[in-house]
Amino acid sequence: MIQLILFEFKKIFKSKFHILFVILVICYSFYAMTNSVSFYMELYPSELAHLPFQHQKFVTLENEELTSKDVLRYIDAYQHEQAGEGNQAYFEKLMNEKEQLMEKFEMYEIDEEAMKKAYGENYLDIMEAGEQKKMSEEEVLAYIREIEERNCEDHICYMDDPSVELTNEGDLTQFTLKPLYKNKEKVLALNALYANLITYSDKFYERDQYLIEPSFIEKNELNKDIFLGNIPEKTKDQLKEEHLAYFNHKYIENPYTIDSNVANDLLIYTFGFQGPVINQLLFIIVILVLTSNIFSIEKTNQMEQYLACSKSGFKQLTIAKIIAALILAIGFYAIYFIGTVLYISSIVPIRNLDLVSMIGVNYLYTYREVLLMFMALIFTALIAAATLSFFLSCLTKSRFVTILILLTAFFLPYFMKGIEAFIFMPSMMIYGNDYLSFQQSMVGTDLLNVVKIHELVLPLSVFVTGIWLIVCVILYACCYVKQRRHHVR
Amino acid sequence: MLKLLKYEFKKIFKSKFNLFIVFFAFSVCTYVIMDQLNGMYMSDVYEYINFEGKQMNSKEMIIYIDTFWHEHAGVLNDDFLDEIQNLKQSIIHEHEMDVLDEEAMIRYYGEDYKELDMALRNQEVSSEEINKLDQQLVAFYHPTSGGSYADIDTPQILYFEDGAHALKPIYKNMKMYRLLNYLFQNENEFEMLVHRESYLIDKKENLKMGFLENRFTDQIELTPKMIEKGNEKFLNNPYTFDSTVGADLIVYFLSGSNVTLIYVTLLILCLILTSNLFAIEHTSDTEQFLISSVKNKQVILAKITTSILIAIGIYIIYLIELYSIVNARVPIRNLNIVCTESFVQFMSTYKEVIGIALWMLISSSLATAALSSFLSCFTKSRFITSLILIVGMLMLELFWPYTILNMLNPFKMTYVYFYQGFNFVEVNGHVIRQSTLICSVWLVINILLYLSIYFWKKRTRLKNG
Repeated sequence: MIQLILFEFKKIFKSKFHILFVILVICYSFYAMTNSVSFYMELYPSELAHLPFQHQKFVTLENEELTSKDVLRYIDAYQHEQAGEGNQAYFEKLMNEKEQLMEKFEMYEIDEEAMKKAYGENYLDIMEAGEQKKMSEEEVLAYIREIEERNCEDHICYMDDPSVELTNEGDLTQFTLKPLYKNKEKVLALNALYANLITYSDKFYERDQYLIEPSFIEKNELNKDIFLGNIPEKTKDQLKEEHLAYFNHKYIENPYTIDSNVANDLLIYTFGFQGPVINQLLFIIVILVLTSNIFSIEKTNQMEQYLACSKSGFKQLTIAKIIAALILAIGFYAIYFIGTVLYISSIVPIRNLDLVSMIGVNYLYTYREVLLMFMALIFTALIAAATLSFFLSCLTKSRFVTILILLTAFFLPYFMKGIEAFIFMPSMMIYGNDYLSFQQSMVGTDLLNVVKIHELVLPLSVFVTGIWLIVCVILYACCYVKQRRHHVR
Repeated sequence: MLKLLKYEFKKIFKSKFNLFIVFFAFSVCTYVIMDQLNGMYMSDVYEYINFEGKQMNSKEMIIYIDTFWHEHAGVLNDDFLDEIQNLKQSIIHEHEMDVLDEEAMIRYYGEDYKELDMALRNQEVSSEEINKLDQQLVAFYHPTSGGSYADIDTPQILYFEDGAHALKPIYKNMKMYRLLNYLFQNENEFEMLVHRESYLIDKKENLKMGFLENRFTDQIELTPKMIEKGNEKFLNNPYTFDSTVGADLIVYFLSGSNVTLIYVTLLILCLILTSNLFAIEHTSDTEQFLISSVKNKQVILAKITTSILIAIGIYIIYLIELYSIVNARVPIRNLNIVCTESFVQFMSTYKEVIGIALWMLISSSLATAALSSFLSCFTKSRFITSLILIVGMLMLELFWPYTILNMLNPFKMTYVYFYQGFNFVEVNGHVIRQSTLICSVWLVINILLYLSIYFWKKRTRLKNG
């Protein structure tokens, strides 16, 4: 049997086109992966500090200027030192530490130089005029334009850029100037270091407050401050008490440990988000190309007749072909997965995966669960693609027809939005985050991320994976039976 | 030569798969057109009532609007504006659409709705109470599969800029407003066209966008020459007016953003039919015969001509299909009328819009055919050709949509609405439409691709000969 499988692989990789295609896709995938990791490294500190995305200078608390990888390592090491159990004492300790650092670095003190540079030498007079409504509307408008021209690049102003703030809404003449504090660059560092830790510990020690009462559905109160965050209207209508019980149970049972999430976030981003998703799509296409030839090659080489009259050959050969298709699907992704994990580990150590994550729905799953669900979805997408291609090439005996049907079907969801059944399409299953969150997905509709089967509530990703595995087994069985019947005939 | 052409077509349509694909592709087009036509002006949630109080389906609604405007056909001038204003007012008045429906007001807002309205206007109601009332009114919204939906005949709390609120007045025959709004939806556009001199773009001091106000996407930097050209086009628009329902439907299906499925299907059809033209000789082992044949040159020319004919033919058949379906539903009247669709930005008449759409679609199809023939000529495999082109075109659009390469992507070219309207480029001091530029570039590329096929195949023969 091993020899038969080896022959199948030989047949596939005898073609120069296949070898070239596989090498190109693997090389491009690693290039795209490293590219998206670099993009993420620039974005991450700003995201942690809730700043609009821009390439900002990152200065540590020790006044050292860092770039990309070093920023991540610095945040990771600092947060790992602060690791602990998310309770009230821990939360207060963090808040006190942050407060002390703010005072130490004089972050509450107005930076006179920066104020003069941003608002003009006479900024104190202008502030007074704004308080006492001494300026006309035209003067204020002209002043706003002047500040924008002086401080905003290409007239694009960000939230933390100097600006005029109206103190009485609707009245242009009553205003103040946004204060600019000393050590502004350290605010970014401090927020990046503490943002996650404080958010998690705050939520953890008051965990019960954010539980969802079953009565919320009847009273239409699902917009309250619950741990799930914002739920779209359509999803609210679909939520049942069993779903809420499942959410509450998962939320309460989750671990309380707090540690650095840096590597975990990076890992999740690389596997389930839209940036590097092109890699997964390319793998699906490679699998389609390679497996579509497994059956049709016998027809092309006019070997079918010989195999059809062989007594045990065809049976064993079909099993070998099935195994070869599965090995291809799993093998390619294993190469990519191992490569990605090694690359990320070389940037920042992967620590505890059993931490609660805000990926998908807030605080519902741990990083381990999220990662497993993403991986399961991608693996299933590849296996589904291999199976469909295998099945169709077995029926049509033409790789051209097979590839044409499958490529059209796989690309269709990108252009036909709003059809919920497309969540089963392998090309959509690579958008792992869509299956975990409530927000609008790639299929163009809001998805309920859990499925209720009788009394059992399952995550949507597990449901889709399960259905596909059953379908794959059925399709492989059909191929096997069809080929056997063919032999008997 | 004609015989050779016939043979090429015979080779293509001998395959049952190709025949099936042709049938399937045009069936998909028919299905999408019929489906969208039946859903047009329709809602799953609420009903459309005409001014006689009768509920209408999509077909009746289309014919009703067409007949209504055809009866008022004429010339766009001040008299026309007055006439449609009077017409609208008379309809509202005749059907008491400006008379408060006391019964509905009591049902929605309660017996003391007048006092409540006054209190809301005087800001005497707390925000909690307003929120509570707002929540109660949700019960009267139209229920949909995705929640509930507020519309013209549902009660609501109105919010004003000064912080005051009011109850939305519910008038008699409020449901007729849906049809009324559809009929008079282009009132502002008519006014702009009648007083076109006051709506010209002016960039001298503060930029005045004129007729482009709220229609311009800032994607192009306006140059004085572009402004001049735009203004000239806007001023030269015809003053004729007639029903544009039929023309709108044709434009929708030729340029619309919701018919991507049609264009994906037709593009793949073109790819399938043309990718086998050269590859078939390799598969059927007839390549060697052709190489040594003196008539090889003619065969290559026949193949190139077939590829061009298929590319053009697909869209001609589609246009005939579209015209027949639309014309069976509603008459297509005068096409020399300025198109008021927002993406056209007053830059073309219906005839021009349809011309640009066909020009782009046929160019895209020709580009696909040329690429497909060229690749299949080199790779000798329709499988590899289709794979490279389908994956290449679709992934370029999905993952690198804003690159220059994607501007030349034949698939992107089928997003015709993108190229309509105020979409000019300046080349060597000449202002031309972006669509003209792209199509011209593709025309040159197509010629080069076909020439390379011709010479490559010819050289092969000479070498072997």
